[in-house]
Amino acid sequence: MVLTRRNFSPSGKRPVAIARESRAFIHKMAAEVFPPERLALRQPCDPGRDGLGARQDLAAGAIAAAVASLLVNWVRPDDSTGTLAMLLDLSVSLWVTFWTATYVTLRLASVMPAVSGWFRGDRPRHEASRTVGAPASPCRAWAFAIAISLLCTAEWILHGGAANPFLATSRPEAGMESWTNADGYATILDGYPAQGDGLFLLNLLGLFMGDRPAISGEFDRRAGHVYLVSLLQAPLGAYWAFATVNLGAWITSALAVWRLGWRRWPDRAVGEVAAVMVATGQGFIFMSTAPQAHPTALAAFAVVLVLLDEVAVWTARGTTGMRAALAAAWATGLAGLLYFGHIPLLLVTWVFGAGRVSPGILAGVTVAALAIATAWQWYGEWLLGLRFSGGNNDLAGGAIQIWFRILSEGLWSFRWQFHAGSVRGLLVGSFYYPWWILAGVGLMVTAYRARVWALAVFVGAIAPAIAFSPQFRLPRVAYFAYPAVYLLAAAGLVAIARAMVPPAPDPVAEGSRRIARGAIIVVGLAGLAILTNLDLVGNQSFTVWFHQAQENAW
Amino acid sequence: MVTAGRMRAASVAATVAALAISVAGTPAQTAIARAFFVVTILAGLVAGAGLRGPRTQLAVALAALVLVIGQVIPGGRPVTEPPSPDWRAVLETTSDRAEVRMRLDASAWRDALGRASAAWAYVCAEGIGSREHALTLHVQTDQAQMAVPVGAPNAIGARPRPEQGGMYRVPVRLDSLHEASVATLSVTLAGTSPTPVRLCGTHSIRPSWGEPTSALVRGGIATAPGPKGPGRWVIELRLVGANDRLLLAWY
Repeated sequence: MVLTRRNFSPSGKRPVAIARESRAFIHKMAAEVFPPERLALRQPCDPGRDGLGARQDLAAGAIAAAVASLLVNWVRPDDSTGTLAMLLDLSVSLWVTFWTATYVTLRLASVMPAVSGWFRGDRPRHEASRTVGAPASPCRAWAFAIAISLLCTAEWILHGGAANPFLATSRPEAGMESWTNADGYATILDGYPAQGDGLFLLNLLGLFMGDRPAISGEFDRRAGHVYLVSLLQAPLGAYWAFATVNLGAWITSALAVWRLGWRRWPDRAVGEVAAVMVATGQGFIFMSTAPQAHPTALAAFAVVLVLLDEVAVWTARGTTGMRAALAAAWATGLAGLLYFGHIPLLLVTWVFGAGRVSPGILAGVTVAALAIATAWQWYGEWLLGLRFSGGNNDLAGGAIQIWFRILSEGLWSFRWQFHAGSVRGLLVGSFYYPWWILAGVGLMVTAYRARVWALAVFVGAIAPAIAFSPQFRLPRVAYFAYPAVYLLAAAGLVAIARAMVPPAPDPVAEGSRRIARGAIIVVGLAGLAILTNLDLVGNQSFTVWFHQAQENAW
Repeated sequence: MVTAGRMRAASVAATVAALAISVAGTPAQTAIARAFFVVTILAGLVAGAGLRGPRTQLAVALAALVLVIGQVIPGGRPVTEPPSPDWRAVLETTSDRAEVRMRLDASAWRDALGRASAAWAYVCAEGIGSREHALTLHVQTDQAQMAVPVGAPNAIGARPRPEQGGMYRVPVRLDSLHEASVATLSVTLAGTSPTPVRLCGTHSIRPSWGEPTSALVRGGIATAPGPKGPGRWVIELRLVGANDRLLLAWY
């Protein structure tokens, strides 16, 4: 549109008419500068346009800000408020925690129509069963899947053996552990250096291989992961069996996030960019060849999210709905046999499902999933004599006890916990600032359907990490949020590229612009990948933060 | 043309076969443990694959069957016990000596040495108690040799408890390490009628120079320490740079 004097001349029209014309002009200009298809991503009927105050996430943000402000100002000062850096750290930690708690509460309360009506922009509605950003062709899909698999494999090789960051960060040089010798917390599996916990998984592995009797250990609850490893033990040996299961989980995670992206974001690039972020993701790089259940559990988390969509658990009714619920319960329960993946999955199911799926179905899924995860404990105790106690088996219960003690000590102790166990440091350890900034941009440009889902995945993943934080601050637990964070960050990166190089109506010009946007995205992804690969040049800062959180440092 | 019904039947048969193969001919506890996960995980995966159609389901069922056969096939690799990461050996008499030889010509060492402002020797020991001079550390390089006492005041780190294992560190002259290609660190009991001290040992990850680098010299005879495999004493050199930041832990 060309601006001319005529557009703005009085021309004898009445002020109301001029105002109407001006408004229409502004809307048209806005549509040209920020067209929906460029920023993705808002759809014409997006209820999120109804007003900022109409969204649960924003309301939760305001409530959290008020509570955090009260706790910062009304509780007597201490070291946690002594400097600006500490004060900001405390404030962010409090805000994130109360935002998560409030958002979860508001979402769950949405099952009540009265509460649901408070937020006209976020009224739960039935999910449209659709795939909006699928690959253009099977060839392109296969080529991308192969490229992602190769990228995961390259990262897995680069960060394997003695270079595995889980192991490397336990060496004295990393400055994190003061009790380890020069090799760090290590064991040697089949002649290869591996993270030390692998030693404690060998009894379970031996049990599945028929080499050893049932002996209780620290990781009895994670036996499902060791069972999968045992399927590869005979041909590969322990080290490569653990490592190969990790690689399979890594690739599966990237492909699952890609699938989630193309299902919920209309722009095909979002899923693809997010898949690259997984392939170069800090959490998977940190685990690489470590004999640990986390990569498998992270993959299970994303795969179950895909499954929940595929079986249409959010929309199906009647017999189909029951079958979908059964599949969801079974898959969620299986995730609980690998690690504690069933907890974030159940939270996601409730937070996103509230208002979409009947509470009875949600309760049924919960009970069945917990029953499957708990069945192994009963079975193992009764038939194998495993104890499921001690060490890592008891950590979650220990965290709950600490919360009760803190709460019994009053507000000062409660606030101090957010300094002693900085939630900000925990989340920044999981995903460093650039990912959060991109995810913030992505959140702003993402439409209702994907936004509410991503927030459900996000709170479902970080709530357990926050709950566990008095015991240990473990970014690897918060890393369950990776499908949400990486997809939102990808949406943010794509939106930035589109804002920098807007699409052109002319196909020829658009061809070169598309290349320019692709270059911007590639540069962004390369920058992020450099950060997650800094350990290869001896800088363990990010991997140390991923190991034990950033605490109060900025 | 195989019908969908037949493919589903074949998937069920393959899953049942996987269960049977998993539990047949194995110790009872192994069969019990495997059965749980075949029924939950493998059967669950096969059932889930059914959502993608009978062909995918059959492929997953056959893949599960292949994996299960691979698990039980004779000649597979056993689960071997790794070398112990944490063992002890006792220095009983004044003639006993724990000895470690280190190569100091590696590029990692040279790089760190160039930036180092201090060097320490770390010794992991158990049973030193409150004695100020329980052990003597002898450091010998191409350039110099020195003997320094090791005792309770040298305890450092998270786990130095009076009667338990922990790290003890003593300073080493940095100039004695410059230009040196080899260092020999040995630990002996202090005094004429000493109390036995247990020294910590671990596995050795870093490739050595073709021969054991740790030795227990007892009665003039050197043996490789450790319960099995090429273990090493936890006797290390650590280089520290600016701001007391540890640059390298070396053995």
